[in-house]
Amino acid sequence: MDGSFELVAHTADVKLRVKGSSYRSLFVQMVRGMSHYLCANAIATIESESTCMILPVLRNTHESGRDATALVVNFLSEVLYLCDRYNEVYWYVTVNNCTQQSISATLYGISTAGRNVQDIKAVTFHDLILEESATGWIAEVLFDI
Amino acid sequence: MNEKRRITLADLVKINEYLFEIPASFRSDMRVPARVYMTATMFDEINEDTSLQQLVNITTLPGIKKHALAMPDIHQGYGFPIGGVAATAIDHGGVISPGGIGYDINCGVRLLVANTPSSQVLPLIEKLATALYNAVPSGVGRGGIHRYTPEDLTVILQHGAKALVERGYGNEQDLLFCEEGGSMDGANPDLISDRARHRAHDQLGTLGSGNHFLEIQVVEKIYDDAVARIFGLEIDMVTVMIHCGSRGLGHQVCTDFVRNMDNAIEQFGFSLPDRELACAPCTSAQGRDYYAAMVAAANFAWANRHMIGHMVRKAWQEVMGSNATLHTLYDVSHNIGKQEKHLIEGKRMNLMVHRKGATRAFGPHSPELPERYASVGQPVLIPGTMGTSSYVLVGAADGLEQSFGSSCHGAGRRMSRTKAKAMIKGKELRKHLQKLGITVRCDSESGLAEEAPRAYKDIDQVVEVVHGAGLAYKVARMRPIAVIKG
Repeated sequence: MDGSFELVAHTADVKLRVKGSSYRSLFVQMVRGMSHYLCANAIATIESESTCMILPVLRNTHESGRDATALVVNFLSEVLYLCDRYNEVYWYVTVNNCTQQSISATLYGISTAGRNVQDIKAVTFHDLILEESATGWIAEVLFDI
Repeated sequence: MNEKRRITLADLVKINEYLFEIPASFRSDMRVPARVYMTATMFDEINEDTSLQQLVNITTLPGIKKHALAMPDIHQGYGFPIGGVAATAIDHGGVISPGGIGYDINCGVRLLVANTPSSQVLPLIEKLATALYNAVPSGVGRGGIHRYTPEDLTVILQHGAKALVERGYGNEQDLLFCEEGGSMDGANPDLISDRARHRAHDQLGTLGSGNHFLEIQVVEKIYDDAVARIFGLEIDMVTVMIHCGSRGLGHQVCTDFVRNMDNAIEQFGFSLPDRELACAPCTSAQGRDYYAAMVAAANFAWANRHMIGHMVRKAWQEVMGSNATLHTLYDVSHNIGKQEKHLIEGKRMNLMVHRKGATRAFGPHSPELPERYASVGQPVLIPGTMGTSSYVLVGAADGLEQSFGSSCHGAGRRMSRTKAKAMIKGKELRKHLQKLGITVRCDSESGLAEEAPRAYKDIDQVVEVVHGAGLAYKVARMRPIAVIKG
């Protein structure tokens, strides 16, 4: 999926800025950005392997929201819950279905056990940006850390 | 309606040397004024981020009374700023907002006092730091050593630290010297989601990461001998400070209810300047449910600090001997919503007081205080940074009228974690702290850099404002000698 993410400084928290060539790829990049913040070391391990590497962890997720903004918060909150509950991060994402109000996706990743993991307490609505641009979609999401 | 124009010092009215007001006329959607505890010289630093805009946003909450308040450690958060206080009228349409309490429900501070003077502790400080580091799991993904069933968790959510004393952890004195006795009424564990329960399954007795810490300190200055005597503090005494909260359970409870209230916001007809201020009337089903779930999460946090206190005591005695004791001076919450009665225009009113990054600071003769402290007021515990002092203050009589009995909660961040990591190297900071006589136990060099003293405001200045404004008065200052972090 085409796109990129970057982590932007914020006084007490951290902001994730994401670009996607499509609405779907935006969600992929959001998962990647969150995972990279949580455990950059695990992501480096994934990236150092062949891109054909079969990641051992697979989670299916389905989320909804009353609008696209709520969908972003709810979807990332679900991914965060999975990361926290199972000590995992995800890098490859297959978006099976995606609308303004629902998404189903399959997440592929690895365990973070034994690695240095950063904490994200929650995904917030605060100053959330979700916009279609000339080249695709952009989003900014603030994580409470 | 809610135009977000930049706030300048000229927009503020000076009430006195330590208090400024943004009048309700500043923005058309403000229901009450916003007040900021600071000195004029602190304004530029405070105004570097959007925290004052966030403070103004709070004043738009339905049912808000008197004013929204910012403590001098204010900094940018989400929804509410950190260091924000707001009270809404429970029985007159006032709302409760999870974003006004925060994701780390009942994050707070517990202070233990040792019966061993610093002269006997300092030679063993390396051993003590290691013992505490090994005893209390810290960092992300490190579970606690105490196993408990889902039924046990339900009891803890209902009864907090009290449930642990009944099971042989800690003692009755710990409960006596704890806000709410470590067990707040009104919890409903049935409202805690399976997800929140899953996240809590091994987190009791764990510190977590970020700005949470254990610190061994030495009392280096007493400001008020009489109050210090009642608090049991003397020069050269050793204290252990515990800073943590409700861990993943609290985060999930807040996430669940922000979603719940965001979904219902149209039902209540509220127009809010920030969706993170999602709220519901205190008397609505959504409001009541959130309050009952928040109380359960708060009870989990008190149990967490209580269990950590128990583990610290065991480790302490292993190094210092079985006669070495640590008694609890007090335990305060700085992220919580409380039902309290306050005077509004001469009438006692039932209020929902939101304190997000703010500490309750009740003055003398408050019925909520244990008998021992009743004549002087509530201990107010203000952690500094790992390289600077922490303070014990005492709640002032005037605080109830001024700030709903609230005070600051710490130094307050001034630098982003990203900037701190770019400017400060963890290894160098560790060496610097060592030179200052501060032993550090922390696995993560970047985590250490994020929490460097330079990333925070000047704690002495923050405390001076609180003292000068008459919210809480200085009692004692402690310097760190060992810091344990995740």
